[in-house]
Amino acid sequence: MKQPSLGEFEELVLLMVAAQHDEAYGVSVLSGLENELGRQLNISAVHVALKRMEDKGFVISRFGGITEERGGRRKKYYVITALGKKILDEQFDLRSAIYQRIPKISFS
Amino acid sequence: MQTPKSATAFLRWFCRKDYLEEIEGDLVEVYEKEVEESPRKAKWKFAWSVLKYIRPGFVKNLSLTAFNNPIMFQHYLKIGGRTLLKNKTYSFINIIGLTVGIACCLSLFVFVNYESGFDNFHPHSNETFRVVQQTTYPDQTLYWNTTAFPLAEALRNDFQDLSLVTQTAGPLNRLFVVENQGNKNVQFESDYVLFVDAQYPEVFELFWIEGDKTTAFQHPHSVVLTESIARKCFGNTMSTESILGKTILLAGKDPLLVTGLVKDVPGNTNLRYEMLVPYEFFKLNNPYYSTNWSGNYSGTTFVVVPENKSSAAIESSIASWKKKYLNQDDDLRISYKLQPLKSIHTESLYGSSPGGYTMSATILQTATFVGIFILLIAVANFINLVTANSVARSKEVGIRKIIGSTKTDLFKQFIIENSLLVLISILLGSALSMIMLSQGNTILSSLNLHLQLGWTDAGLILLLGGLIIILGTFYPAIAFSATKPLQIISGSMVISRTKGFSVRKSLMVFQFVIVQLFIIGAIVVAAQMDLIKRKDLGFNSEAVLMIPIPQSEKLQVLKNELIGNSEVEEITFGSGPPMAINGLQLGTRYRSSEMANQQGIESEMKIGDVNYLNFYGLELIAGRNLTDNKENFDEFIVNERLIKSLNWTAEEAIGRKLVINEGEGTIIGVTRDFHNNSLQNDISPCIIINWTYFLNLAFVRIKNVNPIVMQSIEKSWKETFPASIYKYEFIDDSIANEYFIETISFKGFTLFSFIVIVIGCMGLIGLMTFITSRRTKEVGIRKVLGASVSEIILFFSKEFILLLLLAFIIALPFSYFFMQEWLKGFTYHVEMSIWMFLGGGLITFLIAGLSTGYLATKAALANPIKSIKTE
Repeated sequence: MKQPSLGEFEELVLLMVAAQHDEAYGVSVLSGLENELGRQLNISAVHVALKRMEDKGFVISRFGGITEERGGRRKKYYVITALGKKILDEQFDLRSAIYQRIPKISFS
Repeated sequence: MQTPKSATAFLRWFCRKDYLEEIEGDLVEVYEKEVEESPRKAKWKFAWSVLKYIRPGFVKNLSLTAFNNPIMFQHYLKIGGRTLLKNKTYSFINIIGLTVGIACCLSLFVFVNYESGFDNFHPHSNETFRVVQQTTYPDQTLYWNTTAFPLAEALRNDFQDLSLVTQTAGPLNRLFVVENQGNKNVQFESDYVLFVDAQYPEVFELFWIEGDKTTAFQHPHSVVLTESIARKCFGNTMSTESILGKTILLAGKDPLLVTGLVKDVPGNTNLRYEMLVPYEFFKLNNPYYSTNWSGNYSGTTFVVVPENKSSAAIESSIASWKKKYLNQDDDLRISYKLQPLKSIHTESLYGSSPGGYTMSATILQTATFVGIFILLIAVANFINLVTANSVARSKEVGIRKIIGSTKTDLFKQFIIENSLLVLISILLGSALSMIMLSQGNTILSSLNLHLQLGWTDAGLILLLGGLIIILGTFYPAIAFSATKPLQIISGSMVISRTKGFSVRKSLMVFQFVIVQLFIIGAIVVAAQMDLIKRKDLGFNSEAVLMIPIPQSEKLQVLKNELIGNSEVEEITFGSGPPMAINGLQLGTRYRSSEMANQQGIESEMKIGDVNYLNFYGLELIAGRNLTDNKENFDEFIVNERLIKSLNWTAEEAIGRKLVINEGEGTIIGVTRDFHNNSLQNDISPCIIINWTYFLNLAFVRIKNVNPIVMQSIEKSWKETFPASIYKYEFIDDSIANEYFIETISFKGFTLFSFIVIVIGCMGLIGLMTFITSRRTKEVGIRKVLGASVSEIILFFSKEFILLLLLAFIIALPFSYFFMQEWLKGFTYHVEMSIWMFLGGGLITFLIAGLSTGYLATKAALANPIKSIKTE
């Protein structure tokens, strides 16, 4: 079976979900990425990436409890799945393998 | 913390239910963070983010349950039908209003479509151009739709770039004789005998029944007949094949062999024909005209410019080429232009081709706007009535909601019910439109109009229907489904005055702006038409019969015959009545003997006998009348306009020599200016000459017009000219005919204004019913507390008066602007006065007052006990 692909922005979101283990939800991922990238993102972009990855099976989600915040609306937390972790590892290996092959010449 | 309401509502409306909580929560969290920095920016960003969720994965699945579920669909249809039948008056008013609106709109669109699609059915219609001529004189430029006859042949020989060049002559009036069964000859007449060369059928589409384009025009002595003229000549029973090979005698002497039979000329073509005769025949019989380059008679030249060539390039090469044929004077004066075939009909500068008519682009635009306005006003009306009616059904809505109907269900129910109404109106409207179009064809038969609603218009009808459903039912459906069940059931529903009502108010103002525009427009148009009818033309054309004189040598015979008739008051002969009718006017150029040859000024030449001035009551302000009939002319009577152009006073002019194209003469009299052109145009210089050669019309003033006199005149005429066909027209009618397009537009405009007013009033009545029914109780209580009937009527009317006033003020500048533009088309036009506008306003108030006053009075007179008791 062909493995589902992972887009560039999706990869960033997936990394953030994995990093914020069990505490990741829309806004936390958004602010985390905004801090790391140093630029403004739109929440809808994060949602689109999350929903797509959920369909592909890279993340699973659950609702949190009702709190006073957000007008009583529940947060939806995302956790990375084994498949998601595997694809992240593969991406990382692929990149570092190619990276290793860069000749050690000085880039002046 | 308050998030933007409408954006949230919108998100809830379109977003998937299972995603909604998360998305909304996250959006709110982001919003709350940002709102502290800048509330405005946060709001915009919120709305922007909401919009970004409109993408496939996030939008609800469209549910079409009402259509998937036949039982509900049937139910809605049944309830819809019952509601329509229950409120018969309401349904009737609503359907009639919409039907009339749709019918008018459709008819106008069909008309505009027809008029703007002239000559678009020919094989090369996009690349075909008509050669038109501009003749430039020092004082003016003349625009001709016709050119010299030899032009086409010369172009064909010298221009390799032009793939097809065709020359036509006519359409001309011709008599012809058919040798009928039993050797009895029958004479016919056709106004549309068109002479065409062999390339004509390559450029223009002919619809052949018999014969074909390669063989039909080979021999000069042949003729192609249209179906209807063939039927007229040979009877309905003769088969089409046997008509081929018959002979007709053109002008009673030239035998022409019928070589083809084509369908009747379509209505939307500029060059009409009933018979097509080879141009070669015309050349044989008119050797002078057909080789003369300085004349301009009835020849039309068409060229087909290949797609890879530009018409401008051809035009400029013609400009340098024409000196090969034109003499030096003409070469300087005349320039040839190429006019696209498709724009002939809507451009009035050159006019249509002989025998055709033009429909200015302004009229077509106006017709389009009128159509759109009528439709809009009908839709506004529909909305008002539907909303008003839905109030009466609020209990039904309440119960439906309590039983478990959702907003969407109610929305669907409402849309289906009203689509039913729209559907009925569309069907009736299309039928009505067909009737209107066929009536229009009959009334305007002289324009050879063939308007009809065809299958191709089905798309337009569907579009209109869809538009009406969207415009007309969505707003009321939302209002209808949004009512709160508990309030309705408990009867404590408060009409929100600010929101829903303001839509209706603005609709009403909009309707009445349009009504107002039409009423003021109709008043101005009526005043202008009245001016045209009553304008003193400077001559007396009452009860004047115009008959032709086919043989001028028998003129005296006819005169003696008619003078003996006691019912004939006066008689005169001439080339035409004082005002040019049917576009016929003799033209010439004049100059004083001191002026150089090319300095001539364009003028009209009128031929009249000794009685001409007296007969028409043309007043001499200096000099004397013409003397008796002479073979040659040397006496001129001129009008004031002419002597003004030469800077002479009337007294100075007498005895001066004047040179015209036809010769030289002395001015013996000056007449007061009379309208020698129809009122769209200014008076032009005019010379009246007594020249026996051109006295081809007789004018007879009759004491009392009745059939017996008409018959006796016809009898005398037929005895004098046994070989000719008798024709007559009353000059008054012919003059009125000069304003045919104006009269028709005026009548059409009046009719449509009336329809607009009626539909507008229906809307007003609907709204008034709505208000009075809502306030029954209020009125009852007011009355119990001591309000008088007049106070209550005023209480209802106050709001209307304000709205009408507002509509009046909005309509004022628009109507002023539009009517000013329209009046510019007339040299002699009425000045718009404040009274026209005030009068228009008053009429609107009266009509509105009458239609609402009845309902207001009814409400005010109602027994308060009853109305308070009503739940």
